[in-house]
Amino acid sequence: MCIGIPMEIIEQREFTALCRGRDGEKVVETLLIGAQPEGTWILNFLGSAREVLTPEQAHSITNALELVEALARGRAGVDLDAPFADLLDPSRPPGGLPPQRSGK
Amino acid sequence: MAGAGVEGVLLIDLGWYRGCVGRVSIKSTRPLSMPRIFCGKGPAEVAATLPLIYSVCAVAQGCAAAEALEQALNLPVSPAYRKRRRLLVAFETLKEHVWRIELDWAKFLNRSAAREGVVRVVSLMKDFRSALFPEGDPFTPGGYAAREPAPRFDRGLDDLEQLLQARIFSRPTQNWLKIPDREGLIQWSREGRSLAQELLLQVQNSGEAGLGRNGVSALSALDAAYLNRRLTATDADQFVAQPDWCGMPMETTPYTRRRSHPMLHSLERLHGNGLLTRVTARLVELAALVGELRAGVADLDSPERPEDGNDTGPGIGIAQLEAARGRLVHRVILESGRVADYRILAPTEWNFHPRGVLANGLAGLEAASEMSLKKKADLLINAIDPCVGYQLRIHRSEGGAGPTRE
Repeated sequence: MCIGIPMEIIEQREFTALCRGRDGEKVVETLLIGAQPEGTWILNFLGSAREVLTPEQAHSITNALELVEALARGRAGVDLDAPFADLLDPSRPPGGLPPQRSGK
Repeated sequence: MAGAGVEGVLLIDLGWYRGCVGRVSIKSTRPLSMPRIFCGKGPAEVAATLPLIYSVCAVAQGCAAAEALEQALNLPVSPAYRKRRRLLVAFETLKEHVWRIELDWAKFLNRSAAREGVVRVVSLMKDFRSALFPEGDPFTPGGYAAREPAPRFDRGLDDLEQLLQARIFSRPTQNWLKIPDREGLIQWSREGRSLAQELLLQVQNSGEAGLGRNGVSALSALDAAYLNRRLTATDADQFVAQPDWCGMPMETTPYTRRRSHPMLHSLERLHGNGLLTRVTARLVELAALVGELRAGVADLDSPERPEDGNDTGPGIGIAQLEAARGRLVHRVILESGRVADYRILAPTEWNFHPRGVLANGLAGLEAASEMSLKKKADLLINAIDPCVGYQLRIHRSEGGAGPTRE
C-alpha cells in the first residue's frame, strides 16, 4: 500500500529540494526528477521525489489523503464526496485525471 | 527514517544484549481502514481514485481494483485486455527492482546514487503503457475493445535489455539467468563493478550471506473462497493488519515466488532464506521479467483462453496478483451497484507481521556494535522491502533474554 504524498517545492537545492506538504516542510531528494522550478508539485515517497505532478493531480491525491486521515481519527462531518468531486467532473476524459487548468 | 504522516510507519524496536538481538517488536501505524472511504461509491469512482491514493504501486493497485470490480459486476473483459494489464504490472515490478538497486544499494555501498537508470526505466514504462493502452486508462472496469493489433514494443524492450546489461548484469540478462549455482554467482560478482556485483560481493565477504535466515514458510496460492471468508469474518480487521495462514505468519516476496530458480536453490542450501538469497532473488526476478515481458508481448495475439469464473458469489469480487513486494489482494462487495465493503490485503502486512519473516530474521542477530547492528538490520529490512517508511530503534538491555518477538 504505497502511499505517496504530494508536496510543493519551495526551494530547489543541488540534489534535494525543500518542499511543503500537508505534514509541513521536508527536504526531499530530487535525483530522479532532476532540478525543478519553485512551485512545482512532486510526489514524495520515503524522502524521494518519485514524479512531477500537475497541481490538479496533487489536489486530487491530497483530498483523498485528507479524507483517509479524517476517517482514521473519527472526525465528525467528513465530506465523503470531497476526493471524488474532481473525478466526477464531466469534462474529465474516461479514466483520466481532471483536465489541467492554467499554470503549472 | 520516516515520520508518521497519513501514510503511516513501521516501528521496529530491537532489544540488544551482549551483542545479540533478543526482543523484537514490530508495530504498524499504516491506515489499513483506508478502503472504507469507498463505501457507497460506484465502481468507476473507485477505479479512478484508488490508484491516486496508492500512487507508488498505482499499476498493481489499479489492476487489482479493476479485476475485483469486474468480477463483482460480472462484467466480461477480454482476456487479451487483462493480459495487457498484467504485463504493465510486471513492468512496474521491474521498475521497483531497478529503483532498489540503483538508489538503495548504492547507499549501502556508500556510492552516490545514479538516477539515469531509473529515469530511463520510468520513461520506457510510460511508453509501454501508451503502446498497450492507446485508448486511455487501463483500469476502467470493463476495459475497452482493442482496436489496434498487439504492439511489438521490440525497440523498447531492446533498450531495456541494454540498460540492465550495462548497469546491473554486465552480460545479457538471459545468459545471467543461466548461472547454475552459488559458485557461479560469486564468480560473476568478482568480474565487474556494477552495484549488483559489488553488493553481492560485500554480503559474501562480510559473512552476512545467511543474515536473517529463519524458517518462516512461503505463502502458497490462496483460495478465493478462503480469502473471502477471512475478509468477511468478525476479525477481518485483525486479518488485514496481521494476516496468517492457519495461524502461521507467512512470507510473500520476490524470493518466495522465484525460489524454484536453480541459482536460488543452490543459495538456499547453504544460506537458507538469508540476505544473499534475498538480494539475489531480486536480481533473478529482474532478469526474468525482461524475458517474460518479451514473451508476453509476443503472446498477446495468441488465441484467447477463457477466464476462470467467479466462484465467490454475486456482487463479490476478489483479485489476487503478484505486485513488486509480494501478493496483493483486493476484495470488494457491491450492493445495488455501490461498494458495501472494500478490503485490501497487502504484502507488507504478511512480511512485517510481528511474528513474521522480518521479526524472525532480526531475532538473534549478532553485531559487534550498535552501528553494525543498525546496518545489518537496515540491509535485511530493505531486502524484505516494506512499502512504507520505518523507524528502527535499538534498546540496550541489561538483563539477558533469549530471542523473542512481540
